[in-house]
Amino acid sequence: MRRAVIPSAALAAVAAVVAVVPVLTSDRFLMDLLVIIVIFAILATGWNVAGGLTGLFSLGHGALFAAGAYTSALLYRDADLPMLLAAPVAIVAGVLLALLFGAMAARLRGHYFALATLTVGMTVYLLLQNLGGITGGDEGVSLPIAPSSHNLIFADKVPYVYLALGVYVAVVITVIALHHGPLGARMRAVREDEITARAIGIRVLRTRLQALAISGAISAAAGVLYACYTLYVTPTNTAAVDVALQPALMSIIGGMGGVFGPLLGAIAVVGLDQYLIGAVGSELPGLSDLIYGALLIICITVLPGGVVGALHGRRRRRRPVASPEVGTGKPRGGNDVILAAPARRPAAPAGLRLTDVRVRRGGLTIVDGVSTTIPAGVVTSLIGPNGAGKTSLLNVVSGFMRADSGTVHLVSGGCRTAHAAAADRDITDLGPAELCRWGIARTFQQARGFPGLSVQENIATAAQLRTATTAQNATPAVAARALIAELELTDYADKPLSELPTGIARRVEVARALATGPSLLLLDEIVAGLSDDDIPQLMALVAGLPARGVTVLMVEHHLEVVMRYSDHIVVMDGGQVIGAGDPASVAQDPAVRAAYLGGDLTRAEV
Amino acid sequence: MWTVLVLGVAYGGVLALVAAGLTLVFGVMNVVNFAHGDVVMVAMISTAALAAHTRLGPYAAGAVVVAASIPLLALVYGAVIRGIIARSLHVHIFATIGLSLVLQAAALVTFGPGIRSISDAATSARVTITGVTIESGRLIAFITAIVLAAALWFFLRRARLGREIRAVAANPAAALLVGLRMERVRAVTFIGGGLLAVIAGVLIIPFQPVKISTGISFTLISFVIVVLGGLGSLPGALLGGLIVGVVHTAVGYYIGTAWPMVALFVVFLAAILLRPQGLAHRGTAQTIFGEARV
Repeated sequence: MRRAVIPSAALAAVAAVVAVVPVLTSDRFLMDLLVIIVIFAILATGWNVAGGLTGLFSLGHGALFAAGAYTSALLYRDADLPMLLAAPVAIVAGVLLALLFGAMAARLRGHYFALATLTVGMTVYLLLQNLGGITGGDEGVSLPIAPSSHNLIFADKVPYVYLALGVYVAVVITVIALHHGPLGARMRAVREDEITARAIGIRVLRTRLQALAISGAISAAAGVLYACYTLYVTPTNTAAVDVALQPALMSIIGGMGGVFGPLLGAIAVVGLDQYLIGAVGSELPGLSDLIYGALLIICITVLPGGVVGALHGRRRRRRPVASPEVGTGKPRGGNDVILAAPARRPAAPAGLRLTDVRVRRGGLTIVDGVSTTIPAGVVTSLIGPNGAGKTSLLNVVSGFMRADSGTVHLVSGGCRTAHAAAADRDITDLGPAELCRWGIARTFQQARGFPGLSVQENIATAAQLRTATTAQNATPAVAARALIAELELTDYADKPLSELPTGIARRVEVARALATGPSLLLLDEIVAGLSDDDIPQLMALVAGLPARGVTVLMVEHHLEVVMRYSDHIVVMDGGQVIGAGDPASVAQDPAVRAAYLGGDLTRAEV
Repeated sequence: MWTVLVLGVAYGGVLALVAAGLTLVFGVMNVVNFAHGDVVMVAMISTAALAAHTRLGPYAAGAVVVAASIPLLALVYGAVIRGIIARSLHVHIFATIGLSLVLQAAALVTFGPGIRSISDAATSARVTITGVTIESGRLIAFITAIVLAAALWFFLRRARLGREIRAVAANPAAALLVGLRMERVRAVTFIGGGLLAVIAGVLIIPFQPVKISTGISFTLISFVIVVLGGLGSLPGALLGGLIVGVVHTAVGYYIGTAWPMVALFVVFLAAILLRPQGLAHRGTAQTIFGEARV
């Protein structure tokens, strides 16, 4: 939570500056500018919870803004509700509409999500225009000028400055807490790589819904403020495409990575608008859009972090490379948001029992009736020629691939309090996130992870959900540091994952999987591409895992490694298990030798 | 009923041409161009302005616009698109949205606000075909669009460059390995896709007025079409274009002119949620231009 000190101080400074303006001046133009900037900063900050933080690039936030503005205005004017009561209802309306976006995000990715939100936004816009009986059509809703504080309508502009500022401060405090808390870490993980997020136990859909609900509430709140301040709500000024694009534009120009980018963007965009009206009048109506468009192109292509990112990048480069978290001393106990619950699962390895597992894909049977047992508390290797179905079987066990038939059971080896019921559990139908919560972790053959986050953050995110079994009561950051030290990644701790060489990235894979505190670890060719000097080190760690309560199942092509470090070997060919046993007996098995090895396996055993 | 169907199909043909440009660029570069409809809008406005200020007929003015658009599209490709192809999705989305803002603003600054149209006796003359009376401009637009779509189809099948375009669409890495000139293929595709939008704009302006915000409607309509047909699929774009043309015309006729877009969006959301791979998808690994990836 210490890291939140800097943004909190910045927020206090922003609030102080804004709060002092009405004291120093009574310039109505300046105060008008200030209120509009703060309202749009709120909207943009709301957008950025979905866009910048979670990677849900909505083009429909105009609809959420309009939901807030129209719901509150109509309830106040036509249903005689005081604004203080209408506002929460309006915010709920925004949340519900945002959850509709979320329902679409369940099925749609990337382009499709952006397009679908744009379409919902346009639909809301057209409905507001067309359903004139309720919404007033193009004329919109105008509110009577009847100042009363419980309706949040004031005769003077000064109260609006403080009202908008108060909402902005509350919103930013929420966002700072998000950025430094476990939910924010999950959102970042979902943004960076959905598959890795699932593999470390993050429920991706739930995280997206949470992000959109928060985003919708903030955006609708901005809409309520807009209605109260302007007293005039129309489809064009709340729901049109350019309104929907404003928060994205502001966040991108200001910077999507931090807390204050949207505010800077709002200052730039609204300020530029006002300046141009002042400087060239309204004779050239296209001029501001021309500049925004060019700014947007430049920022998104050249300045990916926006203005904040550009400033931040320079500062970071000057700072000596040291983990910002290392210096924070011992965890601060109860009020530390990132302190996850201590691992209640005592370390106890789990095994697997597969019964007649079949996977068909497009006419091919890639796993063809596999029945085998992966014993708990040992290292098992899964070997076989390319295309034998090894990785597919790993995908089935980790939930990334659904078996067409057959069952997978998780068999617990030892006494486990929290998992007592799991002594023998059918896990066939569980998804990756659930399986991770049941103690199954995996690495990926092509190293994945969260490319934009540092090694430390990558591993801490994985540790956040189930504090590592290696250090009970540790914070995720502490647990991550322990694993970083153990896997000799200290030199890379602060480097972004995207900048690491393959060999290092693979060790991060192992560290990340271990950080989830697994009782069964699935490793997919972790020594491929490693130098002969590095292999024994990594494999010594793997071989030591059963003693720490972790069963290991590894797919491996490196036969020396297999024969040397395995307690049990399962051989696959053509989607079927053709042999299983201890290394010596597998090496002697004629069927295995005929089908796969073709040579004298014992010689490989150095 | 029959009238609505014929008018809808006629309109759908031109819409399919717009969507074909979008889907071509997406198929080859994986870039969804949010400024695509604005290209149509700029072509419509500049054709109308040119026809109004000179003595050129609508199609002669259109020919000038088409010729002038080639260097402009090349400029846009070099300045914006080329640099973002390898970037992530949100860069594509927001860079092309930026482009859309620039095009709208440029049109506003150059041509001013307001609605522009062409009044030309020849293109508004009514002809009767299959018992339906239709403006000749619509008929010319439909026939030209179908001829162009067929020409594009043969170009992609038969011409060497067309085959290269399909190869890059199907598998960029393999295309690079066999020595295809990616840069040239991409530039040609973007300019070609943009030209389809420009030509469609030239064909539409004789019978439909234009304002600045027309661009976003065309962008959304072509998104609806390509999503219905499957992103990257050319036959899908044709099929989707005809469906959208008919729905657009029918809803406007039977329910009211304020509702076609709402109806299209409902169709779009249903399609995107129920069948995101598109109606023309055949269930194979990846559909590019209507055929399975080899």
